[in-house]
Amino acid sequence: MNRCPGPFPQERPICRECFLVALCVLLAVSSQACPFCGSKTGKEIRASLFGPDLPYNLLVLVSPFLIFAAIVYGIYCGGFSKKRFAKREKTQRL
Amino acid sequence: MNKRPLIAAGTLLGIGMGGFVDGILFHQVLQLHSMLSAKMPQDELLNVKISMVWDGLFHALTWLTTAFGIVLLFQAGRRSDCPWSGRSLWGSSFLGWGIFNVVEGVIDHYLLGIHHVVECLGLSAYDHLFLASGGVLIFFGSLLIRFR
Repeated sequence: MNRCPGPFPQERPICRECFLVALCVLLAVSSQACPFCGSKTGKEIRASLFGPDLPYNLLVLVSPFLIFAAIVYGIYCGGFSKKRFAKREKTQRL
Repeated sequence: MNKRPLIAAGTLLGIGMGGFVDGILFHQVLQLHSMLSAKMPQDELLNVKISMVWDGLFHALTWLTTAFGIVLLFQAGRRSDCPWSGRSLWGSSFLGWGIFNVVEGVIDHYLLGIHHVVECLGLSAYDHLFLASGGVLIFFGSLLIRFR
């Protein structure tokens, strides 16, 4: 009896395989060390992440992106065009 | 005609793509460095796990940059005064990639020293090469944008 007709004639439910794979992933050692797990490694990761270096690390992470944003804003508003520079110089002279 | 919206969109997309090349190729596939690898030697599970979080945050910002580039590109496409030029888009994408390499290289590799291209060598010729590649990409991208 074909309960679930699909595009492939040999198709069969794969729920059991999916469950086993999910179980293996959840029981794996690496998942026990996730930053929000209650394991010893998880706690150590959290302690280090949210330690005194957090503001500095965040600043380090974000600083190039602030410069990217400034550059793209400059391009969008024509801040780097020759005409704009010439116009600014003319206004400053007046 | 106003090419600036298209160039801004292409530059953002280039910055995003450059970030993904760095993150995917150097951080993950080749594992030459990670975001904070100069501070945290990558020979302990704890340091690797912490670096993975910071690499993830870097990828998140890169993703946001790319997404914002798509929004700007969509807006540029709807403007009647913006010429729809493939050459300008490619040029600005190379420009963006070059800007990524130069800005990220100067700040992270030289000024702050939080990581280097090949971490086990420290500040090496590869960092100079990374910076130079940024300069070449900026030059090539600018040429493409100006070429009519």
